[in-house]
Amino acid sequence: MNKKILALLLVFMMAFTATLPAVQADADDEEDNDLSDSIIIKILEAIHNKSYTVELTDDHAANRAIIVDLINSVLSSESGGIAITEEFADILVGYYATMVLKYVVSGDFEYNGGTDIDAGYVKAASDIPQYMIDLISGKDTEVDYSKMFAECGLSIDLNLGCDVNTDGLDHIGLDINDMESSPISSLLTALIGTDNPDAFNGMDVVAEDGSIYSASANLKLLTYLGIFADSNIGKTDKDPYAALRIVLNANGKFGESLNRISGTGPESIRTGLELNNLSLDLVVDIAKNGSKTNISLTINKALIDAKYYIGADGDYKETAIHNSNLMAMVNETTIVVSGDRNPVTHEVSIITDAEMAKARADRSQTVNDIIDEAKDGTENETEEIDRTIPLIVSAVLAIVGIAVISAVKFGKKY
Amino acid sequence: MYESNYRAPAFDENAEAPEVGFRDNFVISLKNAFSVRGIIGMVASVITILVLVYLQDYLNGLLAERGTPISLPLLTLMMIAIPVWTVANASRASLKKKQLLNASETAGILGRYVGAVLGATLTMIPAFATIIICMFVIKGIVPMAILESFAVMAAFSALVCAMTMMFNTRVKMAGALTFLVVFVIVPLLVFLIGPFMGLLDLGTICGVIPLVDTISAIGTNGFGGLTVLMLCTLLAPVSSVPTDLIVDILLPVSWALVFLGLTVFLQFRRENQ
Repeated sequence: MNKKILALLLVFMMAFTATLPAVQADADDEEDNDLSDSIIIKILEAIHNKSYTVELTDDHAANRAIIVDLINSVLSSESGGIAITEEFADILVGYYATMVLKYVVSGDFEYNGGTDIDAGYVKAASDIPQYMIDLISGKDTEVDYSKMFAECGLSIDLNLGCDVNTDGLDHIGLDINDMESSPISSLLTALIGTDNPDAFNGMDVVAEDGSIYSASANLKLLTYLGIFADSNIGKTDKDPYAALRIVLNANGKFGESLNRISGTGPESIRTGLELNNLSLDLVVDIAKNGSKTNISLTINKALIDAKYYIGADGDYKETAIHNSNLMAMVNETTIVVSGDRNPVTHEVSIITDAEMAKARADRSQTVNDIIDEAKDGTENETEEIDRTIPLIVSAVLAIVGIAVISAVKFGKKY
Repeated sequence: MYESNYRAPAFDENAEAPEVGFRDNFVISLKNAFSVRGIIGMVASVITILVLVYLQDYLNGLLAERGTPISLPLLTLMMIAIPVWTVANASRASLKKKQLLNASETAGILGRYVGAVLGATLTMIPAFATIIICMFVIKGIVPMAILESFAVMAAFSALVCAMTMMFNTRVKMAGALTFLVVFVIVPLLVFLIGPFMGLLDLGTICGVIPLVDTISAIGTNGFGGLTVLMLCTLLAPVSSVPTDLIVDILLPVSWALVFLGLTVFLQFRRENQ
């Protein structure tokens, strides 16, 4: 049962991000449907208090076997009877690895065998309280919680490699020209600054048809996702609303390096993204106001500190990616995706310590451990306000002030 | 011992009658706060906030016309008005027009001070009430940060009253001087030491020198309080002013005690020329 979780978790993440734009179309029907059998509920129940750990060692054969087991267990329960072999697992891993290469480096690479799966691990844990699932599916819950929260922790250290051949390179770099223009992307451009945008254009290289490279990718990622919800659906007869506060903290790095084995072209190509800190604190607010549906997105905090680099032999470009000054000044901006221009936004505050403790007690220890590791590892340390200096200064100043007043008042008598 | 030619202006028995006694001075301060100028100030603060509400709506409309569906944070904009009016009301409550401080003896000064702080806090209530009403009418919710901001505002009134009274022992236009210090000189110094030259972290500085920007910062993430610091953001990036409720109340109060002590001391020196 546990082994299906990773696949379902990925599906959940994709479904969540994919359904956000679709919500506008569905919002009018939301409260009317019986949600208890929907795919979302199935996914939520599957990741309720679950953890999943995969340890990969230096033994390539053993790692391969683990991957084959994983894929076979998912396939056997879904399509009954099909099983893959180790060679096919190699091809599958290599295929997905080159897909990443195509986007990040160049579209001209093809898988050419030699798959390597090195030591690493994938640890995932998530917890969605049962009462949250019940509330979303519309069942009566015994516990009357007005605020609900879910947490996911993800810790990845993956090192993969394979051989690739190319049918002729003339340019390497990101291909980001077909990003759709939308309110979100234009806001992103305003919020995120780079100090060397030329790095995104890549560089021209020349490699002949048939050159073979050995590619290796490593991904280190530590992510904490917390979802806090506040909703009155099913509780009152007033206009329904659901506000979701999403806290996403992540750090990590992704690197891809290619070394030429045969043919002509650059000796080595390397590119990567180092994410020092990504902190997002967003509130998605969906509310019905009469016949209108208001959907708005409030950015409480959006901080990013990353570095992107690309290089081929001696040519090297890098750029820092960080939030612009505008973001530091204007927090709590609301983007109206649809509906009223000045929407009523609902406050969703962080859960209290007592409620958090109770939720943690209901989880298994492994789930708690993985989530804690992700939370602590990605916490932005500058958040802590050290009160020692101000308290000492206040105490000293207060004593000085009172001393002067007393000295004047009582000193006059002498 | 260095003998200065400067003589602090002594009490002119004819022009200023030194007021003695806690209660008399207390009443004088309250009368200052609720004088005609005080009432006009209260009305003006309410009008300022309503203008800001209109401005936010207008800017939202402009943005919407350009296709950027961003709604500016209403509470943040409204709270920008609070520091200015806090300092204005506090300095008005502590001063008599065009006069040096004529409270005499410790009890008198304390009476004048407590009355000024009370008067300043009370005259800020219409402004806060306007903000709450506007939030309720437009957004339908009243964020709790209002109460915390009120507490910080009261602490700042205490600081500004003490500072104004201290200046008033030497200078007649103490109100203008207080404005200059609070809105220009201190934020400028903080900006130069902190974000500009990078000597100290802004968080550390704010732990020692209270910035009036913190009044509007509670719950609104440091949008600034119309001080020079906000303009300086154009020169060098200034992160949001770090805020912590306990620090924001204790620090201004302790600085207020220092200034109060200095006021008592300076007034004592004046009396005993």
